[in-house]
Amino acid sequence: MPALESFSRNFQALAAAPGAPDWLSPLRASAMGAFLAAGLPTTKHEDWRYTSLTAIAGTDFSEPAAADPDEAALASLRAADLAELDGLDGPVLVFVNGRFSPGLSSPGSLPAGVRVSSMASQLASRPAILESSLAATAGAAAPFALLNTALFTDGALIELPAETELQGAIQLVHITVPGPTPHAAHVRNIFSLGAGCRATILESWVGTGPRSYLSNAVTDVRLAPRSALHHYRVQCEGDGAFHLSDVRVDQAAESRYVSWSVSLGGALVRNDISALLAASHAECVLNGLYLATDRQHVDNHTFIDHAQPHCRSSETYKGVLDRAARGVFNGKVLVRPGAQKTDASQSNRNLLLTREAEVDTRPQLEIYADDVKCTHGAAVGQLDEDALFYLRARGIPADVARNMLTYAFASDVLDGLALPPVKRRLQGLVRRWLDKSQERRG
Amino acid sequence: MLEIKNLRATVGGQEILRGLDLVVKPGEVHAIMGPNGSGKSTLANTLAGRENYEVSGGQVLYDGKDLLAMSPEQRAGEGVFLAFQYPVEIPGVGNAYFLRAALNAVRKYRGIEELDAIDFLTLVRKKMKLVDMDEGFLSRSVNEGFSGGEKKRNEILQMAVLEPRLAILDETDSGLDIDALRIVSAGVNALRSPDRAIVLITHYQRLLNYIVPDFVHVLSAGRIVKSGDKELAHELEQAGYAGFEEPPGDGTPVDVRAVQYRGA
Repeated sequence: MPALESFSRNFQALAAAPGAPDWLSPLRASAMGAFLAAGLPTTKHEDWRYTSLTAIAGTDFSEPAAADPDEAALASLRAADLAELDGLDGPVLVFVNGRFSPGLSSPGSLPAGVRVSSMASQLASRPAILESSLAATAGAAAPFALLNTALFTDGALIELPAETELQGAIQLVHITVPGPTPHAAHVRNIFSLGAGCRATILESWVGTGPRSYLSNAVTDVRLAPRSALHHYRVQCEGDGAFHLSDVRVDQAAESRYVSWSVSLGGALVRNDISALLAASHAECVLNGLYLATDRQHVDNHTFIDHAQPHCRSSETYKGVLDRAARGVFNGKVLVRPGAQKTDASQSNRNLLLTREAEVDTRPQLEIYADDVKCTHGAAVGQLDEDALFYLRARGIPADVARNMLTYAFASDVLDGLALPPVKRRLQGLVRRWLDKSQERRG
Repeated sequence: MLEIKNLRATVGGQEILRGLDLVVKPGEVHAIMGPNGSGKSTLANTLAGRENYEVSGGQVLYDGKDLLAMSPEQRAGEGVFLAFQYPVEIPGVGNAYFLRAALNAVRKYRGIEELDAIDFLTLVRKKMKLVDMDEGFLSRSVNEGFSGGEKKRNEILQMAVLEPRLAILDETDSGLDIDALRIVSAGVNALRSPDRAIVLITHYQRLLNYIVPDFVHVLSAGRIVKSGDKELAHELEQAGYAGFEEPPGDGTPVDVRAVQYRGA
């Protein structure tokens, strides 16, 4: 398989590169070994039942270009309407083709003790938190997390000491400027919030053009007691992109993780979020919105592990599938024995705009405690014909009416969004997607 | 303005309109009355261009143009307005946003400059007074959670904003208490004008006490079987539709509700 061979080549190149920290090499080697031994999962694998990786397997991924094509990167940001975000304070870390770009980044001003840095710059100092993150991956079966451990070159390392409250947001902007041959960027992030911290992190993934490339991001989130993180992921990759993301959240008592995952771009997209509610009174809120058209394939897998009593989780994912797009939602909620007083709700609703569009939705509740409140619901539907006629009878052209109704369906996921500049941007991106989708329908 | 010739329409394979003729001139108010199942709503929906209402024969000319060849939005642009019997709730679409989108779509169609947010707000505030609606309705989703009366007032508000030349009011009086009926009727009366025609579709004479028609037609089994002035409505109120209903057995469904509610 071209992909596996190119990953092996990338691995050897990385191992031979000067300045590779000694401590990291064995970890990388064991992860690579485990990844190659298992190979890429097929649709026979339960977690990949509806998502075929054939397109990735058949692609040769060479190393990303080392030079920062900053100008091209900025141009793609502007093209994607992601260039500036007014009214949002905080540092901006920009990564181009998977590598930190100091020239495009702005450090912002941060309270003492807060670390917001590029992962590559921290490798030599052997951060304990990175080591434990990598070690945690080693035992995991998730193939792309193993591959990430073997091949990651950069990412963001964010650490907040206890009782730190950050205003605004930390922005991580990942831009890909695809070259003539496909490349892969393996990005490793670690977000660690000390006790009582509050922070917002906004990740944007941007690429332009039809060329193929792979983004493979693994993010570890550690939330100490009473800390709260708002985590936004906005995925606007290029039309030919493979985007794989895996967010693993470890929550201590009374911590709160709120996620907004908005997926608009890419050819083949797989987003995993797993949250471990490891101590009582932790809360996890997952909001998701995926819009896909043409032959895009978007797969969202979430796993919420209620390991302790008195925890809450709520999950709302919505999808809009146009043309021949395909969506997958797999949401598992596990309530372990003893996790009494668990309060878990999950909802996935999908709107299919054409007969060709398709979605597979699988809510999975596994409950091993008896005093819990768990609800789930999944729905797949079309636009309301009565509403459509009502709008048209008032003079609104059919395609505009369709967009109004689709926007209304999709945007309520964003209603609860706390930061106005981010909310406006996301609403704008959804509108823009709808307009483009309408143009294509012509 | 409106010329309906021998109109036949089917819904779900069943012929509901069976050769309907009607001529409406500018400035006129026509009432079309008839028992349930006689084809009143089918007429309204066919004129507005609803998809599952299939025209199987006849012709409808609007200002000499073939109305039936137009899409629903074209009809609205041309000045045809249907006040829905059951206004649709549209969660997530704000009433103000919807009204402005509709007004600007219609203005664009008519070659008039679109209104910006401020001018629109000035206009809509003025129109809201007509139907005694407060501004709170603007920020709510279209018809969502509105009471029956509020929904009907919202229909008349839309009519006032869009300024149609031909307004078809489909059972606008249904589900209204007497106060709401007064408000809605006052709104409609305020919109009467020499170049605007109004077609009131109703089951009951009650509405016609408030909106006095120039002509009253009786619709039965998909045809207009009798026409007259407003006195005809009073006769119907006294005698009911019994004389106009085809005897059972000829394929016309007998409408139990029509019998139950008679004289109520």
